[in-house]
Amino acid sequence: MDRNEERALIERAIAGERTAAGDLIRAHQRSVYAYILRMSGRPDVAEDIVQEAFVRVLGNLHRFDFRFRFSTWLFTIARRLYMNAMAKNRPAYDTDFVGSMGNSGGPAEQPIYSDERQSVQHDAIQSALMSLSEEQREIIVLFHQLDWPISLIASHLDMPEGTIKSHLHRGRKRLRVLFKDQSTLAQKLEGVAR
Amino acid sequence: MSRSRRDHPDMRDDAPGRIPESLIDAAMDGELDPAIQKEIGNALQYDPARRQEFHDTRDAINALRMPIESPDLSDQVLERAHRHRRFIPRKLRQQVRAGRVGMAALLLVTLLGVATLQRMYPRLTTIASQPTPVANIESAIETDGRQLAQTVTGDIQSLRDCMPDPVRGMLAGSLSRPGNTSYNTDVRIVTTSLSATAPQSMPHAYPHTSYALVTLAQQHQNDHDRRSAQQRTGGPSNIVLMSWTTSSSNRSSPPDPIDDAIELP
Repeated sequence: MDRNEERALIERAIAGERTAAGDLIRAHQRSVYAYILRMSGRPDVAEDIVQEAFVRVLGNLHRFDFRFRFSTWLFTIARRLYMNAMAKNRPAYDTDFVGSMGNSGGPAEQPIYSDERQSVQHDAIQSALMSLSEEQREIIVLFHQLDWPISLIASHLDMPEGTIKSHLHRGRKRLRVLFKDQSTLAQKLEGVAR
Repeated sequence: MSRSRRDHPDMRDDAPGRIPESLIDAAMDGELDPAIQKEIGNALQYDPARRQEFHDTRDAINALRMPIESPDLSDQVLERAHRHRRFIPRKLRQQVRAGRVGMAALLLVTLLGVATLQRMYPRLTTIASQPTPVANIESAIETDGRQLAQTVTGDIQSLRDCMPDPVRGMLAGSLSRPGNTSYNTDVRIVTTSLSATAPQSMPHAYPHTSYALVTLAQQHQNDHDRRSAQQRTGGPSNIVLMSWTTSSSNRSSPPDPIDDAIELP
């Protein structure tokens, strides 16, 4: 969605058009959900925070400054909500979210991933991400998953670009090692299960 | 920002055989142009350790970029927004805002008006506990006037009582004396008339003596007592003659008016 299209959608939502508000939510919910899910490792936490973020955004939509990107505003609100939630009650890493390895104890009610092979990969990368520091995890998710440029990440996190790069390089190196270990472990467990 | 491969500090001719990690990072950060990245890809063929690291990193990033199934939250969000009344159409929001501003302005004007009235007419804005009709005000004024008159009368009487009256003083002293059973404290003085000489009806008079006719009246507890007293004395009051010596030589012994009194019917 380009900026003009997004602006028109926002203006319609401000005017009270419910369908426009729904389209706006559907256009951005996947990315912000993925962002919070990667950060928290908990689908329930991600869902709650994304809902609350959209409710707040819609409640203050008339205050939105069209000079900025809507996604940046939405992510800032979602991030603040996530940080507040973490400060109040740090959510434990959802083992069920990772526990689909070995085909036991997986998320039976709401499968997050459609394919079992992909699920193993997802679980491995999520487990590796959760082993990183908060800054490294957030920067890697924003840069590699959501394709945010370094400058935008620096603005979003209020850090110098050099610090962002430093976190990115160190985090990526560590992620590589952790992901390889997790993948190897998952393959071994899969072999044992078969 | 693109750089030439030879301009990069880690791609010097005298660098060791391995590809610098920082160069791989720069490529992954997208800071190198596609031609340079292709050259790095070719160079990785001759650096198996770095190639393995590169592939592991790429696998991790690819796993990270795999799509995540996200639940559709739009209906829940819209429902919550509607329930919390946060998602209000612009026109309605403007009306609500105008209403709030109007209410605030009205309240402010009211307060300013009350403050102005309070300053100009302080009694007008005094809130009474109960409403006071005009008739009550008239009767209150009349009552106040009576109370004021009684107070003034009482004050005058107090002043009179304070004035020197030898008859009243002596009489009060004799009445309070034990044994004088003919008069008691219920007796009140009605009139006094001072005289330097004895009345005509007095059989003898003394020099240097003053006389006074005092009309006394008894206060009775009830009508029966009053009637019996009137039958006994023949009237509602008694007149007594009081005398006392006025010479300087006898001042040391005050006169006894009761002893010299002549009771007249």
